[in-house]
Amino acid sequence: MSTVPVAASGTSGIAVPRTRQNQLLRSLKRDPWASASLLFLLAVVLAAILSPVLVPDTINSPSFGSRLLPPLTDGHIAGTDQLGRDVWGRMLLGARISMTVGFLTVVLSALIGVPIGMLAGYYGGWLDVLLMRLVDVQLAFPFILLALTINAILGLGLRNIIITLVIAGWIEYARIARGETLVVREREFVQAAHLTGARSGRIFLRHILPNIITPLIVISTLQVARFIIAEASISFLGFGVQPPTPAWGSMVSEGLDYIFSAWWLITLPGLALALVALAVNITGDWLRDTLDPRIRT
Amino acid sequence: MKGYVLGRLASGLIVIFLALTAVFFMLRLSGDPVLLFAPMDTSRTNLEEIRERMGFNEPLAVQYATFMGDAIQGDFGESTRERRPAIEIVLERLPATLQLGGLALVISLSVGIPLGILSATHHGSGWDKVARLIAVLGQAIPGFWLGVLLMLLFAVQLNWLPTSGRGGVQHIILPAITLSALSTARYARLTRSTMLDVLGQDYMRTAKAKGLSNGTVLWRHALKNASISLITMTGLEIGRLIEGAVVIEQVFAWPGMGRVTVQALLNRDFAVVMAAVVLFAAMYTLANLVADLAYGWADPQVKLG
Repeated sequence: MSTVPVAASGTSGIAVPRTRQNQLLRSLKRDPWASASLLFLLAVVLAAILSPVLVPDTINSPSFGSRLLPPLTDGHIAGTDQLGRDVWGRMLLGARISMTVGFLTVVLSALIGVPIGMLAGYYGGWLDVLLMRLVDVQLAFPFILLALTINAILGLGLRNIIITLVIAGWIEYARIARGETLVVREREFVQAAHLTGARSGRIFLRHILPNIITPLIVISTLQVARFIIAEASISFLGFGVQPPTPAWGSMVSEGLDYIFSAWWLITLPGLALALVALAVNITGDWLRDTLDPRIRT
Repeated sequence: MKGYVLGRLASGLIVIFLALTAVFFMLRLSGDPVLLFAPMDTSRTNLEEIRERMGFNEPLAVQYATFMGDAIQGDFGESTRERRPAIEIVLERLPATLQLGGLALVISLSVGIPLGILSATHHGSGWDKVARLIAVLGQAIPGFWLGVLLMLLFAVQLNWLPTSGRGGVQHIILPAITLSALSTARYARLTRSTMLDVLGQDYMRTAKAKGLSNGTVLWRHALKNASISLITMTGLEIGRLIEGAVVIEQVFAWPGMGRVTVQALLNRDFAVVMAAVVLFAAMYTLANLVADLAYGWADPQVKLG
């Protein structure tokens, strides 16, 4: 059981979230790492949103007079790359790609996976059998290989990366939603709702979903980090966002050709990536410990 | 027991069959397949010829039946680039991947587990902090970036090790360490939490109270009980190492299955991709089967069947 009084279906719909909010705020004050991570993520999200305004349109046009300048020269805080483009500006645009991928893939995978998992867990039958087989296939198949194969077939680009990651990622949500639904289905309030003749849609939305949402939220934060790293790895391998659009992963792979002369090209975009993933993971751990101490991942 | 193994192998085959079916239909339904299989600069008349030769003019069901019939016999078609059987190209690279993955697994087991044990037995100490830091960082640092960083430090700056390729012992050090890093972090994390669980059990207190030495308590009682979850994890971990190898081999130009698959995808050489998919799935299924069988050794209460 969770220590939080989980939504007592309708009786005190407002009071419950408020205690939960207070509890989150209080535990945030006690956890400096989590607060720092949240602030950092907020800054990155802001930078991603504002990057079109902050970064001049000419960012991707080459300027051969200023090739491979080290950081902190001529007003380039992160230096310039092999074409003389400002690395910091390109990193800000890269933040936009990483954040878009992280957010959209998680939302879309959850929207597809959670309903399917709930239906499979509640009704069982052929849907459940099919889902569990898919889970097996997905487990036996390296995630990155699946993503690369889909991307190679569909064609390259940001939209296809997101589609790819959703195709590879929804199953995780379906699996967890199924498992949680299996447990909740047997609880008295669901049985009671069923006996009083509540429609299935109502049972799913009002009785099951509020009781399985906590693990789904926790998994989602961890999934954000996983998807951001997956996109970066795919872009690093050359299957992702195509040049000159900068993604952190492709910036690292382009910089690899200059590893002997320009260390900043490979270290800085990767550092941004690692810090975001670290901050997301720390936030996820904190959410898990606060919302649902019974989950151990 | 025999029935159980056969059952598991059968379900592994079903998984491989489903994976192949999925790739087959993705390739056929995403547009004109001949454009996917032919090299980029093929002329129009050659396209027709390839279409005829590869049977793309046949009905879909016939194509699927032919494809599966060939696949069962290990024939995934010819590599469009190298003009020889795709399975040959992939199998050639298998030893390099097994070598890299095997060494990475050995490193992560022999670093991760002791670190996790130290961290649990010296709860709250410096070891514990180091182990927890490694676990947190290991989750967040992308494998390809760690590889690039190690290359920058040990190959470029210090010039101790080669940047890429396969040859002597010095070539495998950087890729193996990179590949093992994430897995080491996961072993340390799991060993720590499992050992903390086990150390709190009543039978541990009993073992200590009856005067057994610390070593015996730790090895005979704690670690053997913790080994169950470590074995499960190793089955999964082999899958993750395969996944990591796909990326890491590319970083260090390590000529293994991951690299050949990525190159095949970049060259749109889908026969090689199919062969690699089957081999990856087969390796994964076998690894999990072995992990399940190892339960029986670690915990005689587990009945398979």
